[in-house]
Amino acid sequence: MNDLFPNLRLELRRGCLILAVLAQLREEHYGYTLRKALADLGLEIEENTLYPLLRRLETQGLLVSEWREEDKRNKRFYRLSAEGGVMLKQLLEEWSSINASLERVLRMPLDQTVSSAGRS
Amino acid sequence: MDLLDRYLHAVKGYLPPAQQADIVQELRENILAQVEEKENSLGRALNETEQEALLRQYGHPMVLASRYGPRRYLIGPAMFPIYWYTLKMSLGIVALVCLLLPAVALLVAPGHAGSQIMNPLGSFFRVLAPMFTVMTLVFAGMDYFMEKSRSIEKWTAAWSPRSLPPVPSGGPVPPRSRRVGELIASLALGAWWLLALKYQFLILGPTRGLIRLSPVWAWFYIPFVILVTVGIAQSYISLVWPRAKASRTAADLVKTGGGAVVCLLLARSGDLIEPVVASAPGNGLAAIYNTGFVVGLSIGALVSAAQFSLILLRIFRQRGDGGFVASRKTAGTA
Repeated sequence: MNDLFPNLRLELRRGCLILAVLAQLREEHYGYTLRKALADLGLEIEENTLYPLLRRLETQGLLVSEWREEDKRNKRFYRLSAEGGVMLKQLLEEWSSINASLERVLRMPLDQTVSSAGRS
Repeated sequence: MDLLDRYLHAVKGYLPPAQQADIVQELRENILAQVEEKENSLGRALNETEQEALLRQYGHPMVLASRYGPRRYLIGPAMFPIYWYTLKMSLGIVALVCLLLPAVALLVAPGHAGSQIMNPLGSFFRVLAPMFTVMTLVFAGMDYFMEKSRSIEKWTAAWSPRSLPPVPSGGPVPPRSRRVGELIASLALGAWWLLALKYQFLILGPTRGLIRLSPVWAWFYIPFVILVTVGIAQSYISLVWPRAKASRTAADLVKTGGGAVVCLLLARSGDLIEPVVASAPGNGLAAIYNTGFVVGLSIGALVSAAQFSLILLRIFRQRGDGGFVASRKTAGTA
């Protein structure tokens, strides 16, 4: 049971993290500032999850990146691509729909939930 | 930062060569930015323990590098059940062919042709390792190319319930415990029978001091091995593929037909039991045993021949009843 929670939490977070990263990259960031910005908003992401995720999203065409000098150091800046913008819109609609459904499920009294499950 | 250099060097070793420099450079900049910020908040440089704690957040170099890889498995989840099933089946067949049969042959007749097979355990492992390697490589290759060509997705996208095979109409399958029991029983029976040809007290019991099996039995060693092997193989197939009707029927035909011929030939082979030394009790006992064997083997030949004929009759009847209407009726009653 103790091992189960981290695994289920990981599954639950996986899709949400992609959504958060895409949304946050409407504004340009490099890896570390993106991580900090998300953490400041309450979404902590481990470095070994976030940095490879950025690469993957870029490979999928959802992000674009460029090396640029800032504070006398070269950094790789990421931002949402046009394709990423379309994808973000679709994903947000999906997320809103799931969230609304989940809200309704959670608001339903327990006895009603059980009887609905029994009918289906 | 010595620790950072060592860490990044270790990560680099696990990364794909084409991306090593780019990923390591980006990681370095991100880590240095993090270090700088921490040093600014502390007002001093990080000591080695603090550097170590920071790098540990990134995880083991191998773990971090693996997250950059597009593919983290040799055989994917879609292919793995097929691979695992095939591997288990092959292991069972190799164990049967390389381990059990030569071991029984060696026990029964050390000088016999059957014992010329390589040392059973050695041959088992000699076959097992290449089999495992080749099978894994073949499946890994298939998985790689099917993923590349998206064959599995295309194949499953074209799926329809109409393409599924009909529900087997052979009635309920016996429980697994019973099928395991049958396999153990056929193994034990086969081993006993083949061992009994060498250790005659297993058949003759306490009378072994007076009588023994005649040399005639040696002629029937190979047919016995074949019948025992078919029996074990049939039980194994029933365990693994409980609805494999065709192979079960084929094995029944070999067992009953072969059994009838062996029984008949044994019954007509003259004395099957002979006295150890010519003496009145030995001769008398041998005569009783021989009469019993002739009667028993004749009955065995008749029963086996009848079973053989019934199986053949059933096969021909089923063929005659075949066709669309019959198959629909069968499916309806299943």
